[in-house]
Parts: sequence; C-alpha cells; structure tokens
Amino acid sequence: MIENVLFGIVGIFAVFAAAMMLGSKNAVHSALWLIVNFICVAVLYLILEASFLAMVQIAVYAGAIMVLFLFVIMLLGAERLPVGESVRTYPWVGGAALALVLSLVIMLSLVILFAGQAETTPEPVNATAQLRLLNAAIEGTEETETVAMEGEATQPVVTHVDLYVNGELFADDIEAGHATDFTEVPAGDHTIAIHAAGDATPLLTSAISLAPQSSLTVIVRPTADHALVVDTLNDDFTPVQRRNGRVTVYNAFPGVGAISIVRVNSILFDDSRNLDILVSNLAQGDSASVEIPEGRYEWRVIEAGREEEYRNTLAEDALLYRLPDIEIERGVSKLQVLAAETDAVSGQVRADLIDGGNLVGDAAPNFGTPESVGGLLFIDYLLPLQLVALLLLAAMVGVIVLTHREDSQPKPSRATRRKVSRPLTSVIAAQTGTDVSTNAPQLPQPTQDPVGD
Amino acid sequence: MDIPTLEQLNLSAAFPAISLALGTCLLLLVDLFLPKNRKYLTAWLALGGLAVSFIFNLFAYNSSTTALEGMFIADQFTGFSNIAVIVATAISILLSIDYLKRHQMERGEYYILLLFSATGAMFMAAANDLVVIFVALELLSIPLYIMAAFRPNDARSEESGMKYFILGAFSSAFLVYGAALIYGASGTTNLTEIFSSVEGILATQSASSLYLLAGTALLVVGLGFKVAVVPFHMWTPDVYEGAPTPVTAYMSVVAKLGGFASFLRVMIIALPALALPESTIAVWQTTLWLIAAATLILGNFVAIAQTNVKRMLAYSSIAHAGYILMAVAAAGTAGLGDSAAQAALIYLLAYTFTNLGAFAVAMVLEKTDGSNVTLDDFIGLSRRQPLLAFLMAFFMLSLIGIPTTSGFIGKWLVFQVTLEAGLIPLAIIGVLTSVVSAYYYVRIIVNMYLRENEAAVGDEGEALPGASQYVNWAIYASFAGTLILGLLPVLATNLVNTVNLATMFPR
Amino acid sequence: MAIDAYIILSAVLFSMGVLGVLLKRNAILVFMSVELMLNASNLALVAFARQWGGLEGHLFVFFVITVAAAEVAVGLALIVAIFRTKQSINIDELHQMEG
Repeated sequence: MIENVLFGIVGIFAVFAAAMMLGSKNAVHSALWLIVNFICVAVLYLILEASFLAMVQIAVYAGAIMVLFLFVIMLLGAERLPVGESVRTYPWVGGAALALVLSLVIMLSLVILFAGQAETTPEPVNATAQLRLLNAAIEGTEETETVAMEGEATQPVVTHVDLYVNGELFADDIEAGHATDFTEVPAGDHTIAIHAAGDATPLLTSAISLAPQSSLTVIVRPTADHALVVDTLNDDFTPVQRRNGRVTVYNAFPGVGAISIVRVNSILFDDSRNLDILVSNLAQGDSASVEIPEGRYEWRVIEAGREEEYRNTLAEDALLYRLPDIEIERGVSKLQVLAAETDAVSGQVRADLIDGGNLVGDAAPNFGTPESVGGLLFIDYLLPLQLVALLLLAAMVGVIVLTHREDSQPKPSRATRRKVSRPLTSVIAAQTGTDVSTNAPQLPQPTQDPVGD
Repeated sequence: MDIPTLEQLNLSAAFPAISLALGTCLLLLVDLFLPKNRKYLTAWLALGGLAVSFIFNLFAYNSSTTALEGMFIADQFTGFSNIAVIVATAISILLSIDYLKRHQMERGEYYILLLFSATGAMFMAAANDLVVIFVALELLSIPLYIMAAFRPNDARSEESGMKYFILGAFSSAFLVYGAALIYGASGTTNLTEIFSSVEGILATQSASSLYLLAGTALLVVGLGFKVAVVPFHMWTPDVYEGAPTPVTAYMSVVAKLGGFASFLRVMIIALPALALPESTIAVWQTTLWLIAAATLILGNFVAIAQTNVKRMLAYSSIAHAGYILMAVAAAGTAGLGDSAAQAALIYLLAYTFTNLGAFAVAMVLEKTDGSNVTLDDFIGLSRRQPLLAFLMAFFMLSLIGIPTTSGFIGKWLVFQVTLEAGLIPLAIIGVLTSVVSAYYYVRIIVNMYLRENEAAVGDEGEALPGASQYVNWAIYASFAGTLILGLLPVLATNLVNTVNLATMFPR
Repeated sequence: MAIDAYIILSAVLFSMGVLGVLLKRNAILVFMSVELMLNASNLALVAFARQWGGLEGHLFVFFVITVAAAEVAVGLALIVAIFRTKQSINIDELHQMEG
C-alpha cells in the first residue's frame, strides 16, 4: 500500500518536473528540473527493486550527464534565447508533432482501456508456483531385492519412483538420490501421488497446497522398516546476508534417530577450534536451515546430544559418519538431504548427502543488485558490452575531432609570429636610429637580384 | 553462474565483425604515430583491415550458427550484409583520400570513425537481440553524426551533423521505447524468443497484445527514421547536402544497409506471426506497404524538382528505400519471408554499387569552393570526359532499373516478391514511380550528351576538380559491380540461396 | 501494484519528451527532451523487468544509459562547434540549406 502512495507522489512530481523543464524560459532552470525528474525516476526504480539502476541513474544520469549539460549551457552563455516566437517555424514540425502526439495518446488510451479489461484475469506470472521431486530412498539397493516385512509377505524395495500431480505424470522414473528441476505448476491445492516407477497403483498419496510464487520440494524418504514416506519442504528463497550462503538440511536417514551435524573448517587442524556445530538434534523428517559463510567444508554426522562432547574431545564413538565436502556459494540457498546409501562392495548402509541443487528461482534473492546485473553483463551480455565500449571510444574520438580544430587552419602560428616580429624590428629601429628601418626594405633585395636573367 | 568457455562463445563465427573492431582499435593507436602529412597511410591500413575482415567473412560465409550467448547470428544473411558493408566502406575510403586533402580536412580519425561505423553496421546485420540492435545502431550512427560535421568551421557541414544527430537521437528514443513495449509483452529481448512467445500473447487477448502492437509500431518509426522512409525522411536532403560528399555517399548506403538488415531480422524472425486470428498476413504488412507507397511517390516526385545533384540523389535514395521497403512489406505474407529477404539483400547490394558510383561522379565535378554540384555542371560532360559521362549514364540507367544493370535485377526480384505477396497496387505504384524516376535520371544523361556548351564550359580533356586516381578506382569498382550483377545475377542469387530467416522457425 | 500505472507514467513522460523535441528551439533543450524520452523508455523497461522477474530489462537500461552518455557527449561537442561558427544554437537558424 505504501508503495502505491509513494508511486503516486513521486510519479506526479516526475510529471511536474518534466512540465517545468519544458516550460522554463531559462535553460539552466530546465536542466535543474530535468535533474529533479531523473531523481524521481530513480526513486521509482527503487520501488521496482532495481537498486543498481537507481544508483547508476543518480550517479551517471542526474550526476555526470546533467553536469555536462549545465557546463555547456554556462560555457556558451546560452541560458536564454532571444525573445521570439515560442514555437519552431519548420514547416513540417507542426504536422509531425500533432500526428506523433495524437498517435501516442491514442495508443495510450487503448492500452489503458485494455488493461482495465484484463484486470479480471489474474496475471499469469503471479499465479504459478514451483514444484519438484527429490527421491531420498536408499541408494544402491538392487531393485529386485526384497525385504521381509514383519508378519507379512516380502515386498520389493522401491528405489525408482514416479510422481503424479492431480493424476498427471509429473516426474518419471526418478532414481534414489536424485532430484528433478523445478517445474512451474498453477498455484492452489493439488493431490500428489507417488508410484513405484512404471507402476499404475499409487504407493502414497498426499494433498499439498501451493501458495503463489512459492517453491515446494516433495521428498520421498524411507522409514526404518523400508517403507516409503512422502514429505514436503517449502524452499526458502529469501535473501541471505552478505557473503553468506544458506543451507537447508533435511534428515532422511532411516534408523538412527535424531542426529547433529558439525562442520570442519579446516582439514589441517582437527581440533575443537575448527569445529562448528551446524545443526543439533535433527530428528528424521525434520529440516533445519542455517546461514553460513561461503566456502568449502567437510561435514560430520554426530549422535544427537553428543555434539558438544565431540567438539571438545573428538570422541570417535560419537561420530556416526563422515560426509563428502560441501561447497557453499555466496547468496545461494542450497538444500542438502541426508540420505542412506548402500555401499556396493560391503553392502553396508552409510550416510550420504543428496544435493538438492542451488535454489535460485525466478524471484532470485539478488534481483536487481549490482552483483546479478554485473554477472549477466559479463556473460550473457558480453557482445553489447563490447559494442558499448567501442561506441564510447568512437564518441571520444568524435568529440576530439569536433572540438579540436585549430590544426586544420593552415599554420596560423607562423602568421602570428610574423606579426609579432615586425613591431619588434620597428621597436629596434626606433631605438637604434634610422639605420635598421632603412635596412629593412633592403631585405627582399636578394630575391630581386638578377639571377634569373 | 556458469562462465561460458571460448568454444561456447563461438567467437570464430563472429570473427569478420570482431576482426574489424579489433583492427579499428589498433588503427587508432597506429594513427597516433603517423606523421600529419602522411594520413593517407591510415586510409591504406583501413583498407587492409577491411580486406582481412572480408577474408574472414568468406570463411564464415556459409555457417549457420549463433555466437556470444545467442546474441549474434552467423548465417548467410550476415555474410552477405558483411560483403555489402565492406565493399561500400572500401569504396568510400577510396573516395575520401583525395577529397579530404583537397578540402583541408585530412585527419586519420576520419577513417577510424568510418570503420567504427562499418563495424556497427556489421553487428547490426547479425544481431539477434533488441539490445544488440540498439547498441549496434548507435555504433553505426554516432560516427556518422561526427563525419557529417567533419568539415571544420563550415556552417553547412556542422548543421548537417547537428540535424542528423537530433533526428537520430530522436529516432533512437522511439526504437528504445518500442523495444521496451515488446519486452513488456513477451518478457524477452531475444528475437527468436519473441517469435515463440508471440502466438501465446495473441491468444490471451490481454493488454500484452496491444503492447506488442504499439511496440512494433514504435520500432517501425525508429528504424524508419534511420533508413529514411517517408513520414520520417525530412532530415535526409539537408543532411546529405551539407555533409562532405564521400560521407554522404557512405551514409546513403551503409546506414540503409544496417537499418534494413535489422528491419528484416526483426520483422521476419521475431514478428511474422503478429497477425489477426485466422490470417496468414502479418498486421504490419499494411502499414509497411502504405509507407512504401508514400515513400516511392514522394521520393520520386520531389526529386524531379531538384537542381542540386546531391539533393536529387538524396531524394532518389529515399525513393530506393521505398523499393526495399516493398520487399519488407511482402515478407508479411506467410512463407514469403525468405524470398523477400533475398530480394531486399540483392537490391541493397545493387543499390550499394550504383549509388556509390553516382555519388563518386558527382564528387568529381565538385569544386573546392564549397559550391553545389548542379545539373548544369553535367552539360557537355560527354565531350570533356567521355568515359566518365558513359559511366555516369550507366549508373543513372541502373538507378532507373534498365536491363543489364544491377538495378534491374534488384527491382525485378522486389517486384516479383511483391506480386507473390498479392500487393498488386504497391507493385503498380512501384512500376509507375520507376517511370517517373526515369525523368530526373535521364535529365542528367541528356545534359551530358545532348546539351552542349550553352554555359561555356571547359574544353575536351579538361581536368575536373575532383578527379584523381583513387576516385577513378572507386568509380571503376562501382561500375564493375553494377555491370557484373546486371549481367550475371546468378552470382548474387547464389550468394543468398540459403538465406533462411523465416524457415528457421516453421509457422 | 499494477505495472500498467508505471507504463502509463512512462508514456506520459515520453510524450512530453516528444513535444519538447518538436517544439523547442534551443538545441540544448532539444537534447534534454531526448534524454527525457530515453528516461521514460527506461522506466518502462524497469517496470516490465519487475513484472517478468527477469533482469533483461535492467541490462537494457544499463546500455541505454551508457549510450545516452556517449550521445550527449557528441551532441554537446556538436553544439560547441556550431556555436563557435555561428554564435547561435537556435535550431531555426540552421537553415543554410532549403529545399
């Protein structure tokens, strides 16, 4: 709401400043009003979350460019044109101006009319959410392997699953330990169903509710008795502090109970100074989100409740598993799912992390920041960037060519020197008497000597 | 953030343009060390740079790929436009060497600005993104503003640069606003992606479709200013008259090359599907053919009234923009995009040679006192300079579109594609105005051959003010191009035979 | 907040710029009006970028600002040059050529 009010005030002021710029008789006043207009637009940029551009707008546009304008106005003394007609006298101007402005106004009113009609239908951008599937079933288990359920017949262990949303296939044959990419789905309530890969009957069903612009990860995890459970996790896109990255840990490891995770800052010094407790007492099916500085870390899984003890004594019996190194990137949210994996050789179950990928959705946390704009500038927009560089070079050359013109005059320096030297001789002549001045006319004589005869 | 490798950037495909850009920067440095009285060396080095770029262009000619993260398309269209730009720039350099010296404005920066402008035109022809089109257009235009005002302390030249600058900046603003509205409708500035989103936008019947329509209209206004079609042509005669003649020759050709190349790309790649429901004809076709008709009529009729040759050629260039716009309009019919692009490209190449030749001859007759070349200056030219008169007559015939000249081939293809598109009234207007144009072109021929010595002009073999070896080379090159294209059109048609802008994305 | 409001504001500013270019006689004011037009386009681009949640619009604005800087430099140099020759920057006095 405050945005709307701010927009109204700033917008009206921007139009007013533009009108004053056009109306001022004095060019300096016009330039100053234009600066006001530019600053209003910069504020609008801020409302529109374009922080970098707002900065550039004020520094480059309102600052550098307008200073240039003011400088030239003052340099030329061109504040006021002599009084005369207020309208230009080109024959074509009147008609062209009228035609252009009329067509623009017509276009504008058409857009307004249509925009009014279109308001009944919700904007497509706002009405979607993102959904993905992450399969945290025990990795490495053979598909054919069976497990005896208590008091029941054996049933196969499911490692590959399909996800159906509202009865339609959403993700096909996702292997254990893998995640799909986010896919846009309409916001609202949906029914999801997990099938064993290729199987028509659902294993599990669940109802989910998607808020607009939200992102949801559907996690399939095993229980201690090798059945599957479906869980959902809302992904967090909100901005993180500078130089930090966010990591969300989800515990999908069956059979151990609650765990804690510590991170090792340096593999060189394996002592308490280098151990940070990342997450403590995370029960199965729970998730925790932490912001940590960017960098590469080793993680270790510790029995819940013994993390302090491990940090102080490095008691080996508290250490459950060592995990592979994890890279935390600045400004990026990361989902890590602690899952079980069967070792292909020993057949033992060990812990592994499933990388849920970097969560940079449409509503990226760094929308409009210098970093994001700069990144694009040097990668996707390399060509226009180089072209702009060439353009500035050409403009520099051009400005020099246009304003530095003394050289083109045929040697004015010699002419001025001659002018100076003549008064000098006359001064000398005046001082020394008539001898010099009478000699002076004789100087050209050698050229008149009859050499050519 | 994935940093692309050099292979992914695919620089080799863009090398013809990149090499020219690099060469120009290098030349800027070298020029510093060249002595003041040897600036012609810069011209020779510039020609060398163009030759290098030409060779790279031959290697990249038949590629069909994108480069630099999808911003640059390297295909036959790019290759052909590059050839035209390089040839036009080389001929303009030959025209400039002696002209600059004669008018005491010989500066190395001239050639550097010329090459920057050519680089802009080459990137413009290859652009696959509205951002690149805008920036490349500015790279093409800004050096032209400066070159138009290049003659020092000469009010007419400075005025010409000023007018060109004001109208150029004005039209750029239209272009940007148009691009902004198209971005607003489609959510992208990439031409290919705009194409794929157009259908969805039209289906929703929301404000987006009007944004798209308004954006297209503003884009047409912006590009229309640059290529000088009729409601947006008023700067042309003044700017062409005031600018130094080699600059006029250059900008009458290269600005149109760049402008029309983008025009074709935007219309055929991005917006062919911008049509009413159940229609196979794009909505912009009607607008464009009305503009083309107005351009043809006004350009040709006003040219009749001109006595100043540069102004006459300015109106003639407006008229020729109308003929090329006929082809662009024809591209609005589904399935004709490629043949229209081919016709427009060949017309542009033919126009390049012929128009440069005509300007070159006019330049030869130009005196250093700054007075204008008028139609009367051509009286009796056939006796004084029979060869020059013959070449000028040939260029004039090509501008009319007489068979065996390149102008005929260009017009033939353009009329053909216009008829295929069913724009019969436009084709009729095109033919009629061609007949009208014969009046003012033939008048020069009549002056050269049939009117003699009414105004006490010089004797046979009298040296002309602007004649020089380099200018002669330029005229011969233009003549050769005009003649070869006219006699062996198959050469040019083979060069564009696989131009496919529209069929890249079947409708 | 509907993006349309921003677009309408930008269209109003753009039209004012067009009027300025066509009606003003002082060349510097004409340039300023062109800047106003470019600025209005930029506002539309940023608003659309917000609507789409993409940064293409921001990048476009960045390039427009840079190009505008180059354009202004060249334009003002032209004005200085023409002022030296003619002692006037009134556009109506630029009529050495008629036709």
